[in-house]
Amino acid sequence: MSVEAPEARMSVAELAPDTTPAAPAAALRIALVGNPNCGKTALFNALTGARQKVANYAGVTVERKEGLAHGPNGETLRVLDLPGTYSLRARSPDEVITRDVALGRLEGETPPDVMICVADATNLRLVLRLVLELKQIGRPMVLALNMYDIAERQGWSIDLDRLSRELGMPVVTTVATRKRGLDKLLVAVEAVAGAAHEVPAWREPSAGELRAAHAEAERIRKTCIRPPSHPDTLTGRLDSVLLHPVAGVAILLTVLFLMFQAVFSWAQPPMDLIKSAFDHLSTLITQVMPDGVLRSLICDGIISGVGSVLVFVPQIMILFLFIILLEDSGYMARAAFLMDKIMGGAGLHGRAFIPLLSSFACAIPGIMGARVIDNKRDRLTTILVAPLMTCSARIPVYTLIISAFIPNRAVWGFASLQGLVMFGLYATGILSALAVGFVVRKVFWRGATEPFLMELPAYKRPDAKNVAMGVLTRGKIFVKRAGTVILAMMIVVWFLSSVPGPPPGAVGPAINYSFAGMIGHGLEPLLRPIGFTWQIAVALIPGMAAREVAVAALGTVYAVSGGEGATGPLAGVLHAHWSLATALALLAWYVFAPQCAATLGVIKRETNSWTWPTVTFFYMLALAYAAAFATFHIAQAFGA
Amino acid sequence: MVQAALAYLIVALAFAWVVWRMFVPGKVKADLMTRWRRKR
Repeated sequence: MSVEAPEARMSVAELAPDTTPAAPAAALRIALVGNPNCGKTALFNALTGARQKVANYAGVTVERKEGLAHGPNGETLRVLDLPGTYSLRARSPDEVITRDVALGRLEGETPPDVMICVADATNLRLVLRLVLELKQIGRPMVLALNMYDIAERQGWSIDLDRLSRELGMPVVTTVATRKRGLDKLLVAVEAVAGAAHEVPAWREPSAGELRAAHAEAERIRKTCIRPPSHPDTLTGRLDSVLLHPVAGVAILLTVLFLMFQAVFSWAQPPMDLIKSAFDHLSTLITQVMPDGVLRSLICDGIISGVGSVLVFVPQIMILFLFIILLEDSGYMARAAFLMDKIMGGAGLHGRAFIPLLSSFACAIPGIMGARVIDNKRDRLTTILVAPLMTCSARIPVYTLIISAFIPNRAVWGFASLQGLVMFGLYATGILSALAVGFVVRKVFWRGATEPFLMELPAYKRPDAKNVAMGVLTRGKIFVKRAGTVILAMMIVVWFLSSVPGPPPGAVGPAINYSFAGMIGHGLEPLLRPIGFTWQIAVALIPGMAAREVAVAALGTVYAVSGGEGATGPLAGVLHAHWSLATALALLAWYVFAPQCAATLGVIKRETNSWTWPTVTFFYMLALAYAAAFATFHIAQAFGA
Repeated sequence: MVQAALAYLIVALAFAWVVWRMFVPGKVKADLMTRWRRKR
C-alpha cells in the first residue's frame, strides 16, 4: 500500500511569528546570516541580551528571532537572528526563511538595512562562498569572524585587511560568548548602513555559477588565510574512538546509562527537601486556618497537586545539565552520526536526529526543528514520531511510579534498579519512534531516504554560563507551568472532586459522589481491561493538557478521597492502592499516550492541517491502549 | 461562608483561565487583546 504524502502547506509568514518588542519604526534593521553552527544566536544573545538557545551543533535555530540592541551612540537597532544556511539556494523551510528575509521577500517583514554575515573563524571554507552569494543581493554587509579566540589559539593566521579588500566589506573579529568585538562590529554596521547601494534583481545561481563562486572563495581563502602550522589533532583523535562503529556506540550507551543513574541518585536529597517543605506548608495551613472549603482547596487541591509536581524539578534540571553539557561539547553531533545508520534503517532521515533529540526536552521544539529536513515526507515522518521521544513532562509520571513500585536496590553491584527502569523507558520511547518511522516510511510512504550530510563541530569546553542558563531556563519553564497551567487545572480538579457533596447518610469517600467520581466511574469500564482504576481515569482527563498534570491530579484526587492509606507521600499512597500490574500498565500507557494538547496544536501549525494532529492522536492512543493492555495482562500472568 | 465564597471565586477564575488558555483559538485571543489594548 502506498499513500501519497501530502503537501505540507506551510506559509513562511506562519513559520515566522512576530514577537518583537516595540522599537522606533526608523530603527536600523540588522540581519544575522551565516553557516549553521557559527555562533549567530550567541552573537544575537550578546547584542540583544536575549537568552535564545545555543548549542554546538547545526540546526538549533529554525525560525527568525528578533530583538533590540543599542548602537555606539545609544540609538535603537533591530537585530534579526536567522536559521543557518550554506547557500541562498534554499531547500528546507528554515533556509527559505533566511533567503526570503535576506532578499526582502518575506511577507510582512521589512527588508534588512544591513546584513552581518557571521562566520566561524576556525572554519571559513564554506562561508566565503555564502558571502559572495550574499554580496550579489547588493545590501550593505559586514563580515563578523566569530570564535576568533579559538582561531588564534589554534594558530590560524587571517590577513583581515586583505580579506576585507578582497570581499569589499568591513571584516570584524568577535567572540560572542565573551561579548568581545561587539562595539567595533556595531561601528562597522553603522558605517556601511549609510553607504549608497542598489538592490539588483536576484536570481538563483546555476550550478556553473556556484562552481565559479566556489573557485573564487577558494582563491580568497588561500590568499588571506594561513592554516595552523601544527594543526589541532585532538578532535581527530577523539573522533577515532567516539565515532568507532562498535566502541562509539558502546560509549554512547554508557553515557546515556550514567545520565539516568545520576538523575535518580543525585536528585534524591533536593527532592526530599522540597517534599518536606510542602508537607510543612500543608501542616501550617491546617493549624492556622479553620476547617472548611477554602482550606480543603489550598491543602488538598493546590499543595497536594502542585507540590507533587514541583518535587521533580531537581530531576529535570539534572537531566538537562547532562544534555546541555553533551550538546555544548560537540558530542551530540557525534551521537547523530552514530545513530544515522540505525535511523536510516528505520526510514528516518539523518537530520531527524536533532529534532528527535530536542524532543527529549519537549516535543514542541522537536516538531518545529523538523523544518531542517527539506523532503516533505521525511519531515512529516519526523513530526509523527517526535511525540514518542520521552519528553520532560513524562519524567514526573515515570519517577513517581518507579519510586512507588520499583525497589531502590543495586543490580550487578553498581547500578540502581530504578535508574535502569528509567533507562528502559527512554529506550522504549526511542525504539517505538524507530518502529513507527519504519512502518510509515517502508509501508505507507515508500521511497529512498536522502543521504545525510552534517558538519561535525570541533570539540569545545562547555561554556559554564551557557550551561547554567540552559539548566535554569528548563527549571523555570517547569516551575512556571506548575504555577500556571497545573495550578489552574488542580483548582478545577479539586472542584470536580469536591462538588456535589455526598448525600445525607452516604457511606464511602465523598469523592465517589462528586463530578470527578461520576466521570471516573463512567470511564472505568473502558479502562478496566488495561488495569486502570477510576482514580486514574479522573487523572487522565486533565492530563490531556500536559502529561505531568496527571501526577498533580492523582495527588489531588487521593488527597480529597481521604481514608486509610491516602495520606503521606503520593508514591506511598499509590503503592497502597494499586497493584504492580496496574503501575506497569500506566508506565506503558505513558510511553505512547498522546496526552499533550500543545503538541497536537503545534503539529497543526507546522502542517497547516488538522489531518496530522488527528492521525497522531489516534495512532498514539491505539498504541498506548495496546501497550497498557499487553503489559497489564503479562504482568498479571507473572503474578504482579 | 466567606471561606466558601472565596474558594468558589478562585475556582471560577481558574475555570475561566483554563477555558481562555486551552479552548479559545489563538487568533481570537490576539484580536481580543488588540481591541482591549486599543480601548485602554
